[in-house]
Amino acid sequence: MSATLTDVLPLAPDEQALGRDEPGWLADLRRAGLSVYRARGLPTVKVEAWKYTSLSGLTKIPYVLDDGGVALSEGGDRDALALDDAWTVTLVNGRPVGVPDELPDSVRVDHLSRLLEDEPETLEPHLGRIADLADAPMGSLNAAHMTEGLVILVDDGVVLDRPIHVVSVTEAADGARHMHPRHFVVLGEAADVTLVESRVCAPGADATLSNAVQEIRLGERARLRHLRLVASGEEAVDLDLTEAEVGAEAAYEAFTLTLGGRLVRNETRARLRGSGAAARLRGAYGVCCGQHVDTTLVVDHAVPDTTSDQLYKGVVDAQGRAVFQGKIIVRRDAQRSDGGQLHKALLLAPDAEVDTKPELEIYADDVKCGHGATVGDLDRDQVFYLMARGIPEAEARALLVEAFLDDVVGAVPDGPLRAAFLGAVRRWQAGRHAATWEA
Amino acid sequence: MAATQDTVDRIAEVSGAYKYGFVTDIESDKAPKGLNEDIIRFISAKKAEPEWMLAWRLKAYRHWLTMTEPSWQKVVYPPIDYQDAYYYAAPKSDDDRPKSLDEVDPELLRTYEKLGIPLKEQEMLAGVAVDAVFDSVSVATTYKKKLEQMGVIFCPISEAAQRFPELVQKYLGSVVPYSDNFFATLNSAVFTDGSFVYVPKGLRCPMELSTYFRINEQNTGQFERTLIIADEGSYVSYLEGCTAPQRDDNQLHAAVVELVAMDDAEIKYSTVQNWYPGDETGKGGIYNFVTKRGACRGRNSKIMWTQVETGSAVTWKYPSCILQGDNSSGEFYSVAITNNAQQADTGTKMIHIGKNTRSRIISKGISAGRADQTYRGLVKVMPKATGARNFTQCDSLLIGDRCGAHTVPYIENRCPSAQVEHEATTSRISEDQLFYCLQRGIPEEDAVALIVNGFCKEVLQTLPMEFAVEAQKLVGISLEGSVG
Amino acid sequence: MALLDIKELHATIDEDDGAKAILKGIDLTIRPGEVHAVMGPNGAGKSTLSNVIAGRPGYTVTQGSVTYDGADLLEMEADERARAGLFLAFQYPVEIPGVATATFLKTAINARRKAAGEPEIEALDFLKLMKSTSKRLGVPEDMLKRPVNVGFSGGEKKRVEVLQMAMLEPRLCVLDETDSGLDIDALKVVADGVNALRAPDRGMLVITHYQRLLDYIVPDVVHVLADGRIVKTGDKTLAQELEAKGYAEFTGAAA
Repeated sequence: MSATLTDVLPLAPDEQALGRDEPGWLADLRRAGLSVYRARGLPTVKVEAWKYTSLSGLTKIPYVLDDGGVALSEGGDRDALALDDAWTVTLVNGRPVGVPDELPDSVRVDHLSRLLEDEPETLEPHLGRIADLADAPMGSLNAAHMTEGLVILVDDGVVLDRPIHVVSVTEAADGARHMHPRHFVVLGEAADVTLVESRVCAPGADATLSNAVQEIRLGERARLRHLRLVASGEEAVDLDLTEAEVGAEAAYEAFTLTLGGRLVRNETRARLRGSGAAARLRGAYGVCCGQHVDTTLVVDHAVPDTTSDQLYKGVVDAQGRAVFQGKIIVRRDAQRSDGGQLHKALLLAPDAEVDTKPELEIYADDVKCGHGATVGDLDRDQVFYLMARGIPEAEARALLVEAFLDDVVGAVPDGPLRAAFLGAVRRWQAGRHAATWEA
Repeated sequence: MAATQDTVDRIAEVSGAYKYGFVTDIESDKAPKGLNEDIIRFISAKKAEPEWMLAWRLKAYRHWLTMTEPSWQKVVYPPIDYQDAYYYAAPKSDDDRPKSLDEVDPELLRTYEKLGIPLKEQEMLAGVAVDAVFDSVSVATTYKKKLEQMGVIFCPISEAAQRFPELVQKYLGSVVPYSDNFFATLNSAVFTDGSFVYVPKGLRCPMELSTYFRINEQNTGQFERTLIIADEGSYVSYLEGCTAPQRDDNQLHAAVVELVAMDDAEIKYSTVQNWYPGDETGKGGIYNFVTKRGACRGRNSKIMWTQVETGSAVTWKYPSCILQGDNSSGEFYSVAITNNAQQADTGTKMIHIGKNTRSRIISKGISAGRADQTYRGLVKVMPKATGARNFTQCDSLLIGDRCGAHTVPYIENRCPSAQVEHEATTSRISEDQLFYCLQRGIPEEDAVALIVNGFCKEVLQTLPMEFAVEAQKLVGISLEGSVG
Repeated sequence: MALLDIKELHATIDEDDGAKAILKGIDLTIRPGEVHAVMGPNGAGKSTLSNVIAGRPGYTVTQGSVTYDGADLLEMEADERARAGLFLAFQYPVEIPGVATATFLKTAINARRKAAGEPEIEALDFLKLMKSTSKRLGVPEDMLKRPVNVGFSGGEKKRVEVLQMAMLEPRLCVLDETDSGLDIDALKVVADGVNALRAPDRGMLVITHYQRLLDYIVPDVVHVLADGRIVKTGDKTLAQELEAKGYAEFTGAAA
């Protein structure tokens, strides 16, 4: 923690202008964010939560704050998942472009900037109240900067029969930009929503730093399926911190497929706040070619009788580096917590690396918690078996990789959604290259 | 076995929570309080050390001054005032080291007998050679002559520095460099005694070698240093036991252990650590900040660490293996019990460098009372360690709802042909298990001890017989008062 | 004097949403040498009865008394009851990983001896006792080196329960659904083991759903338990009667 970059403190906003013309609570939020970031600076490997992912290299890139004004470029289908039957909303560099038509009245999809401007009182109970960013330097930096993002508010009892699809595109701008989108999803009691998110990149729009925070709040008995494809650009730095607060009997079910980006960190925290709350965090990743993909999960069993399970599988090929940190916390008196975690990685090349840190922090005795982790190559006997049946080695390996990922991709609901995610995996396999996924 | 039975009976018959809390009233010779270069020169002069050793100590001390105490471990303790302790204490009568046991102060012999380590009787009966370290010095080493006839050197490290300077100079600091970490560096500067073992080529050391550490003086730190070298094709099994009197202040124990195994050599290192853990409220107890590391330098070499950690107020300890030689293997078996206000952050590091290296980690943590315990372990596979294998199993058992049990493994793999597997579970003693035992007439505390011993069995059975029985009893004693 | 004397026993089971009444007034007297069977449909309170007698946590006696050998059984802890000679053969024997069955038994025997002010059993005597008992009950000796009930089949578990019973020499044996999960061969072996333990100074309480077990362990007295009460008592023919007619009559009557 000693090696902070407080002297230069890159990416920080101008303190004087912070929170000007804004409600007091919002200005306080920004100042608190800046002070945490100031105290901690850009995370380096000396910070335990960032042990395997250092951001100190970012100081070399002359990022300027994205000021909007970038339009969606013509041509090229950015909808990586090609979902027909969904309410789609597009974001360019973290800023929503319009909102979907024909949404039921009970669902509100809006721009953060609009709410901040016109009705901050709608945001006040949620903004900065869900995610606890005191220990998150980058999340705090987001709080200092945030001006734009997507807000999704769903009334009690609403069950959506089609997914909401957020296509988040990074577009080229003049010079390297940094941006700090802040998104919100608040589900009322017993609401049931599927949210699909694709993070993609337009050609030539590589050198961006996206530092997003998503705050998710699930009311009692609500259910959110949160499916994500992360296919950022070759030079993109894509940091995302998602914190979900799960109410009684509610379920947060996430699936994250990460297939690209120079440096990607998906940090997901689920706080189980009500009895019967559940979190299922699943994901898969494919990493190669100088990419660094960090998955950091924290499940916090804050009250008795909650369940969670984490299942992540990854494939790391030549020059790729994958990081998996998964933590289960069981608070004092959170009896009868049931938390499981499994991480399995395939290491396919000698210059690839996987760093795993599964962690248990348990303060109650009547719990069922465990974790497992394995790292290894494909089973040689299996490869040979397929080859002996006449299948070329590359194809045999691809087949086995797909089989390896099969159960975790199976977390995506069957039908067009699963087909779309499987398609993304296959394109990655064919190209082993993030930029080529655009079929 | 007679000695062991004696130990067991003793433990069983003595009542009260900590059985070794007595203080031996012995006149002692102490260096002035505090830490500076003069103290280090004093220690070095007391030990009549060669010049290079003093230079090495001073280099360590100067480096230590630039270091800060680590803070990443999950333990909490008030700041230690390193100037408020004695760095050298020796029983006075030991000014001239005794030439045989007959010359050892009878009061000391009685102390060790009380501890279940009857030095005289042991020499007569048991197949265990013992080096007894009392505060800063080694007071007695049994079977020394017999071992030397076979070519085994087993003596206090201070004596080894005089008699076998080349060996000591070659290996001291070769596994744990003087600059390694805060506590190891402190130890390098001020270490006072400890055991030195050298087993020559091709010899299977026929008896267990054992060091028994005892802190007696108040306000002294204990900084022993142990160095064990197993030459090609040799085998040695080494046991270490520790106790300290019951005192209200905290005392620091910062030891360093270095093991070197050459081609086809095997070292088995077992510890039963039962330093005074402090009272129920967390007052007093030993800070056990220890660096233990073994280098499997040779092909097919093997190092096995077994530890039963029941004592100390705070423990910080990661016995490690550096698997350099091809086909070498490292094993770590650990039982750690924390009760009342004890804290422990312990585990291991397995660094795979050579081809086809193997490691196995079995850790059983038991937490009771308000204690907090963390398993922290690193498995690192370097790119050239083709065919490396690791298996890790970490199980935690919680007794009561005020304690904590944490697992923090770090798995870093850079070699595709390596296979690394890690599993961890957390559980408690089920009410069904407890009732089943009660229904057979077994009282609750015995039932808990029985179940916990079963939970630890995989580890306890790796201990040499002499220690296994003692360790089993210790498991029960450590958990007294944790139920009901 | 009666070995076990249960009078007007009412007991509840502690559940998350409060206590639930299970036993609603049981009267039962077992004299030394007698074998009593308690039969009844599912949910009648059979297991609760055995658990309350053995002192399992999670049950509360709300009324009545249980006298064992002249002493107030309900005042004693579970382990005291066991050391006083009460043995429960569990319906679901519990696994204790890492603890060898032999070690477990030795610990149990010595706990009893210690309480009686006797010295610990000699290693050799224990070995002899274990050998002869396991041979008699057809329990392979190497099974006793394995951890308590870990990896045992259903039949093996029940056999080891009877082996424990034989070695601990109880005065009152309570067998809770010892026949459940057993095939006919295993049932015979277990029953033979139990019959061998019948003795003039020993009482037995055999709890079962089916009459089958009672073909092999022939009881002196049969009680029908329904809805927490003993609704009928007779001799061994009552069991056969039940086998033919089922429990419908009693469950109807109890409702």
